[in-house]
Amino acid sequence: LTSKTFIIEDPLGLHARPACDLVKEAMNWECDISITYKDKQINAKSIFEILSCAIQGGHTIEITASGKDEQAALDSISRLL
Amino acid sequence: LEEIKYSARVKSVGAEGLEFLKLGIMILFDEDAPKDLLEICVSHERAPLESEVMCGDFIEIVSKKYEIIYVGKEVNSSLKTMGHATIRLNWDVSDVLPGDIVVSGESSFHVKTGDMIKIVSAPMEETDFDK
Repeated sequence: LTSKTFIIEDPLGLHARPACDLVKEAMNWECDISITYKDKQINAKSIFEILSCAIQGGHTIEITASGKDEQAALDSISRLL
Repeated sequence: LEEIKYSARVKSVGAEGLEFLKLGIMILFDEDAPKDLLEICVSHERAPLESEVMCGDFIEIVSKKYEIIYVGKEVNSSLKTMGHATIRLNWDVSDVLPGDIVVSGESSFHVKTGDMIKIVSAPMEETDFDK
């Protein structure tokens, strides 16, 4: 299990376009990837869960990856974010 | 009397866009949106934004009318340039993004290809001057 905290720097938040990019990236990996936002944990491979959460700019999210390629997945998502 | 601010015909509803509608979220993009966004959205023919959308306006989808109770600060700009806005039904307005519109209404969103989506001003009362 590995995790990292990020601040959403885009003032528009994690809206449709970047959310799609994040899901596409997450889908490239076998491990489970979750996002914790405001005490809620959601699946980073689900566009429904991400956009339903309305993750706002300036707020912090924690991304957790769990599985055999977890570190590579987290590194890759870090570069994207 | 009401002013039509935005009026667009639906071109397609993406497979995932349909699922969002069930959650009370309608993601609008014009037809030029990239393919992955078309999957999650209700795409529509590009239309001019005649005047700024504001609280108190209404969104009309076929015969259903929803009152706009929140307009994010990016909504007018993104509607104008990409026909984009995310419309959330009966949503907590403290939990939204700058590109979001929140509407209140009793019925869930039902949209299909060919339907018209309109944003109209609140009805204006006719004055003596208009008569």
